Amino acid sequence: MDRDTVVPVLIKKLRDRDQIQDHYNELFNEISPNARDDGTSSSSTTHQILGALKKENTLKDQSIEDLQERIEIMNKNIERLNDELISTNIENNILQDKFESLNDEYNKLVQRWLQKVQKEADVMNANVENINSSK
Amino acid sequence: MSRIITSESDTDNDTDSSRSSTLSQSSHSSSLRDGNRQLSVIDYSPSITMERKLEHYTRKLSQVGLGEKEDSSVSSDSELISSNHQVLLDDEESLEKVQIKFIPIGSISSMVPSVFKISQGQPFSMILAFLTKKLKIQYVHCYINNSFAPSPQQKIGDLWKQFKVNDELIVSYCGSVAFG
Amino acid sequence: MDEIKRLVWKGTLNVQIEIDKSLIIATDNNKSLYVNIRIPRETYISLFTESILRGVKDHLRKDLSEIITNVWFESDGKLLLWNIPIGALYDITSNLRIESMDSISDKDTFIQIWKIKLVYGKEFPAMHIPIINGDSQIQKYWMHQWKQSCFILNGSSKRVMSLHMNDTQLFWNSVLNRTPDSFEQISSKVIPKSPRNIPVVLHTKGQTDSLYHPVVPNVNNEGKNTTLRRLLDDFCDYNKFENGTVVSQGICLPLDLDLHFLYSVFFSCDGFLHLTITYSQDFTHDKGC
Repeated sequence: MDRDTVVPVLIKKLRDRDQIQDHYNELFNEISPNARDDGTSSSSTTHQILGALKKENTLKDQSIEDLQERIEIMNKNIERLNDELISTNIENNILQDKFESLNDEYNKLVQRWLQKVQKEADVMNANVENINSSK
Repeated sequence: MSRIITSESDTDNDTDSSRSSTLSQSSHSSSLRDGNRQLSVIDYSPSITMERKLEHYTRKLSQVGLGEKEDSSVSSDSELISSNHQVLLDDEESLEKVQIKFIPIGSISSMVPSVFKISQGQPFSMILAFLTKKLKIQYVHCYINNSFAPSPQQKIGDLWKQFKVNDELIVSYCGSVAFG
Repeated sequence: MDEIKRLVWKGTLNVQIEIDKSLIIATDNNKSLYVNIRIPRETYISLFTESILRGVKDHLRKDLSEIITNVWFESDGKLLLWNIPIGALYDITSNLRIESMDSISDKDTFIQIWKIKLVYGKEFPAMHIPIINGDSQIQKYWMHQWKQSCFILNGSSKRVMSLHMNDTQLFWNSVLNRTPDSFEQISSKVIPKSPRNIPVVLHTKGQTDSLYHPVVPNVNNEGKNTTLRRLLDDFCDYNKFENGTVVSQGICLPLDLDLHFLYSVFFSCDGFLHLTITYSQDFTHDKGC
């Protein structure tokens, strides 16, 4: 495209753009980039109080945050304790089972031993009777 | 998801050191079953949280000497890189790698090796993160061709195409500001 | 040509900024707080953060200094990258665009506004570059952008690096204080008559986080100057683009434009030419291209 023809086209378009943007643009204040404090930091009491309250607000926000953090940690602790409790429970159950089986085994052994002793006693008794009768 | 930095070699798989078991080996299998029965009582509604809980309990059990040994975690190195990786990648081309050459400025320690391959689609900030991690420093300043610091959002591939020298993008780095 | 440059430099936007509710002292009716300002297209939005907040400082919950480092701008919930000139951001995000006043039926009530939000947060969005050093950090960033564009134009950053200290400061001040003459004077020292490559940044309409820096030779292998159409052909699948449009500086561009010429009149304050591509399927409002 020829430059001489394109320049007026672009200018027309940019002007149209500006016309649209400028419509009612008096409602929008022009603003300077990051202007330094414009001296309106008046020392009136309202402003002083406002400043103080803002500081207080910041402190309160801080303490809310701290407390929330603490709650979080507490919750985590509770969860951990709970887990600990459950796993201890499981361990306890296992040990309980083991204890029962050992107990059973022990009882069985005692029974067998008693039976064995009984048998021996019976044999001995029989022997004694035999001796007595042979006398 | 593939890893971007290829010149890395370390994948440490520390397995957990064996824990002292409180129960004898012979009772191992039966008591594990016991433990699982216990768990299935709790597991009335299958959900992700429950699954996580279950996992937790098996870990607990393994600590008591019951469950299987837990798998070791993935090496943290590749984790860091792949977590950065999810930034706007769609086509194959963005996964293609280009060569970056790192040159230290001043007293900062040099990178070994000095040439790395990095995916094209990654933003430049990836290089910054990579360097700070490799060199174990808090800040790093990077310059292309000893001239300018690009925007961290710019794609490495775009930089490479525009500023490469012998098919390498030359990135000088420094702990402090070098080219104001 | 000078007239185009003047219009580009003078372009402004009507911006309505909603201040994040978490920054404001809560009132009974819980109304939103807005700041209406007119901002030049060719600046960075973060240069205005402090001024914006200062304007509403009596409503703020905290002291300005405590929040200034933790704010950013969003449009429709999408992060606006402050390091892209505002005008380009607007071209990327704004949906309805009208080419001229004649196409508006209700002229009395019509007003063009860009609604964006100033957001406060402890954690930054992923693509945001935190501003910790205020304007001087923005200035440094801007300087490096110029070095980069200078490298693309000349094959080295020498022209920017050898600028006198005063000139560098004057250059930056021209952006801050909107003085076109000194901007023109110093940028002409950096931009050569016949550049090697053209510094272009391509944006996609509606995507604030996708930017491409294509390699655009001023004169290609066949000895022809690169046109806008050629760039787009190379950049995207042409079928996809066929009915699309390209916007820069708020206007729709004819595709036959010579890119070097376009750059020389439309380049942004950071030394790059920012182009926003709209694919046809997304958008039907554009007319008159």
